[in-house]
Amino acid sequence: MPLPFERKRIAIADFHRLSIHVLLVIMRGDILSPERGSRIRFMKIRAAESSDLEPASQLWFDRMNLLQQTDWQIKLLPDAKEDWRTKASSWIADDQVRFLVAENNEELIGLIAVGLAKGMPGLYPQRKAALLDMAVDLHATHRGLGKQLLDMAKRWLSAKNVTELEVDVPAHYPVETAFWRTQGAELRFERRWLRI
Amino acid sequence: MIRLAEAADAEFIGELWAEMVAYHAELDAQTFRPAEIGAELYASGILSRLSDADARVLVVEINGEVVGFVNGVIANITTEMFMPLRCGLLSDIYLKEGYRRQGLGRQLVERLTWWFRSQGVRTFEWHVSARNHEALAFWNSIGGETTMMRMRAAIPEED
Repeated sequence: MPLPFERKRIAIADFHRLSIHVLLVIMRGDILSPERGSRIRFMKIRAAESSDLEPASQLWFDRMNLLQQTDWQIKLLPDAKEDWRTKASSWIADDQVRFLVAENNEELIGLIAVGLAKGMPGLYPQRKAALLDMAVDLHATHRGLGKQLLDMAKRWLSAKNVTELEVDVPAHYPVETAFWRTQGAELRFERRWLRI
Repeated sequence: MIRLAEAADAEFIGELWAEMVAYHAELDAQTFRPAEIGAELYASGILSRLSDADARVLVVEINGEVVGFVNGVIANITTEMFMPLRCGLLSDIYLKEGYRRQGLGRQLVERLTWWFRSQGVRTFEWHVSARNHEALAFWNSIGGETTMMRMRAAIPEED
């Protein structure tokens, strides 16, 4: 019998092996068990607090672990989670950043951080918004969790008179590309690299 | 002739940048909206890069006229959670109409990558507009792989 920690790892590995089609179906929430449907009612999205950093860093780490397998440029440092917590703790007090978490039955199941930034030199808009981080619990899918987190972040950005959110989406992770497309995001640039 | 940019070129590079933005604005007006003093701001940025040891700006000069440029810099592209990765970044490249499809763009890229290599850098990155099919074809001929897609989501106005 695997330990809870191992079960989570196994679940993540299984998740990764699933076909893109199945993942997309899950993302849309088409497969909705009665249990999951009932649990979602208790979900709460709120501003992140210091006590959220530990579980939030695990969500971040799980996502990065997956991305690491698809992109050689992503190599996590041994203290990556701790480094992320340090970075994320600065977001909590930063009035240029909105850092939100979603919790369900007192368990952290998602996070989003968006920040205000200067636009490209010489181009409008001179102030833009960028997604700093976003992660959802991969082994317990929740219908519309990503969208709800994003909508809350958008409300804050709208109040700041920002009209666009810029997102860097990993090219080799179609699940996230599909999510952003369903949220109305359009591809503007490709970032490419070449070994020389 | 491809040569290092000098302070006297900054204004002309600013003008080329404005042409480049206008060219892109026809393809994607929402993304490429130049500020009124956009060209001056860009020229000023070029001037500061000329004295930056981690930056290199090259120009193509033909019959005394600057007809193209490339702007590159070396930086660590990762954040603190990741292994540092010193990488070349090609910020902008542009050639005036009439000087394209003659191998000048490829030469600019090659010259910049020689410099990257001479600085111990083994990879370089760039952004290409997803709607600029001419540029996509150029970069496809150079090679490389897409690692990230920059997407934009509209934020509705508050009720």
